[in-house]
Amino acid sequence: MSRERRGETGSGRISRRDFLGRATGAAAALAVGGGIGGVLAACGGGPTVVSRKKTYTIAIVPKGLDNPVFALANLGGQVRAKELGNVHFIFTASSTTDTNGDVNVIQGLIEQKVDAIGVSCNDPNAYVPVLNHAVDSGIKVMCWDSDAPSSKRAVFYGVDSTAVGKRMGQEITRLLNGQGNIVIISGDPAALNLNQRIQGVRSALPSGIKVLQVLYTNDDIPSAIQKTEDAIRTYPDLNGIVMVGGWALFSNEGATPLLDQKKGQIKVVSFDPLKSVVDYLRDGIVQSVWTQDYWGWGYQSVTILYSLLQGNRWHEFIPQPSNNVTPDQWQAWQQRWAAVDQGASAAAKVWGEKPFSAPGPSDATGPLRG
Amino acid sequence: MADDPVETVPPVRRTRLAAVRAAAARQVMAISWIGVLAGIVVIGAIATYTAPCGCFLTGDNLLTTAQEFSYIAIAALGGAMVIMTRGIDLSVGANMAFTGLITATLLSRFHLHPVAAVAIGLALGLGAGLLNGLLITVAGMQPFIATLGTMSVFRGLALVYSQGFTLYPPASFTALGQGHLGPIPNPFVILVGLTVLLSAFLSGTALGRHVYAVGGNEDAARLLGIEVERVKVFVYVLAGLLGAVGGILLMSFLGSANPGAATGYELDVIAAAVIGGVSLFGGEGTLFGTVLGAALIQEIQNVLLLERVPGYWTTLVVGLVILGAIGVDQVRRRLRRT
Repeated sequence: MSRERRGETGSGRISRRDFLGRATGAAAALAVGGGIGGVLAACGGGPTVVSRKKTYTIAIVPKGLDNPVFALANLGGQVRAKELGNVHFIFTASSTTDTNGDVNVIQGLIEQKVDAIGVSCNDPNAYVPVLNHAVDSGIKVMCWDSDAPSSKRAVFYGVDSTAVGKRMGQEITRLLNGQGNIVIISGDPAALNLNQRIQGVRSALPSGIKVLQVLYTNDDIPSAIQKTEDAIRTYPDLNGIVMVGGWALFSNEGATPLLDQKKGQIKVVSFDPLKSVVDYLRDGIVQSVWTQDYWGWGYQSVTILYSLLQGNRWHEFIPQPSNNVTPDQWQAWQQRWAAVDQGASAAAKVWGEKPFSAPGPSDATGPLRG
Repeated sequence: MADDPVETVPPVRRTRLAAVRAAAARQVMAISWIGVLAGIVVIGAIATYTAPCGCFLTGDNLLTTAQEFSYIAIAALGGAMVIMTRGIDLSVGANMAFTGLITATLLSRFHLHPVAAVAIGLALGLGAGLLNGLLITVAGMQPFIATLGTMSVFRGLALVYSQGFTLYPPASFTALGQGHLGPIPNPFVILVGLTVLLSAFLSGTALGRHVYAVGGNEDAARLLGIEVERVKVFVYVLAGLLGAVGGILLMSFLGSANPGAATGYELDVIAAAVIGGVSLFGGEGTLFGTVLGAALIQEIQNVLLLERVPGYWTTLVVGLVILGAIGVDQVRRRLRRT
């Protein structure tokens, strides 16, 4: 019954996002030339106002292009660039998460003389030289999602991974009433943010909860499914699963029959409520999913970088909210994903946020940077 | 050699003994997948008696493991035939992601009939293989370079088309990948069917035998009048088509299509073929062995988890087993030659 309902949500004509997306193009250079033309044309009015102001080129670099949470950052950034009017927005990175590839992409942006760059760093150290080079070349630089704290970047907009892990650990403790056996499922064994989340989870667990095993899926969905199902088979006394990366749920419920069977018996706390995860929440298979500010990674980063270019100063640390999505919120999240299928402007209506203003929201900390 | 104690055995007895021994060895060692089969059985036996859950040798565990390696094994049937002609196809993982993605959107956005959507998806895979084949034969590129290029092209097309988003087929389409024939998962049924069909093709038809001939000695094959270029294009087309079969089944099983899906599967495909006894020097190997190779890789991952080995060890153990399997293969070849 539930699956039939699901079938309808993915439908729709070629969406505006596709059209805009194609106009924005694959290559950064094309994005500057073609995409903004499209955005301006879509604006319709007031080209005279735009032409008088200086146009800034702002680039947002995610860890990789093949991750749907980063695709939302692209939409958020596009929308903010359109609101500001005089921003050329570039969204580019290596196709899959690759530190060296991303460093080369940033190098290319510096050579293109963009005005500002916002980066999600795959590694806190590897990006330091290239980010410093950008700052020394007069480019405004910030990090979002994942920081490079020892670089000269001005601002970091992101979440404290250890703190989120701790809250996930507290949540599984609450769900299990402080007693039971859990496994932790992660992605790449070398990913800093995932390891920090694991550390956070462990730090929050009372002595009554035992971590039987930590499993690594290398960010591969089929492998995550297999490991989750095998873990349930291996440990008949399993009470909970903490997925510090939610790959096993980025599928259809039918792909995880054992997990479905253990609904209610095994409590699941996961990360990133992607469209498919909403079904798991609705059907009570998963009890808690932690969010990040996907839209804001693009939207607020463009806001902050634009403001820095205007000469404003910001607090160094701008904490990103991470919320717990519980089963009763499934409908709201289904609507959010349905809006994404309708294109950037429809998505803005449900994902939209108020732009931050300098020197940052009230929970911002650290010295003022410009 | 001269000091070998065998030298002291009377000449007549020695020849007879050696002949019997050599014949027996030759019979066993002629089977290119004997090493991998032994590996599967030994690891399975150990897991059956030592896994704490006692759940290795259960229908549930074996069938889900079979399901999980089917996608890679189906793609590996094509990969193996390419390697038999002394080629390589690095583009198959990207092909799987691309064809899965397009098929998913044909269903959910354009509301095509599943048969039509799958047909177009398969045709795209076939086209991808044809492109590889033409780049290698007509344009004369090295297979490694040509398919390295098309790997990026196919992955890039998937990224541009999806704009990085995960796309979803209608839930009804998951019946294909998640369904069962009796207790057997559909993807495994399809794998078995394709293996039987293609094995018969390789050994029973002229074109099939030409695949080995081209890989064994290209110049000799040409002298024999075999149209080498045509055979090569054919195997790449077949590899592209089988990649699409694997990709569409994977997408159907997951109920989602991600542009980053199947990243690195091209290496799993090569590993499966090589572990299964397909020689990277061409002209040798079987599809049955290739399937066993894929099964062994999956079995190891399954067993390590059931044995509750910490997750960090998995990659290391898989690597050691690949080396072990190739080592067995080397010994086998040497024994066969003597």
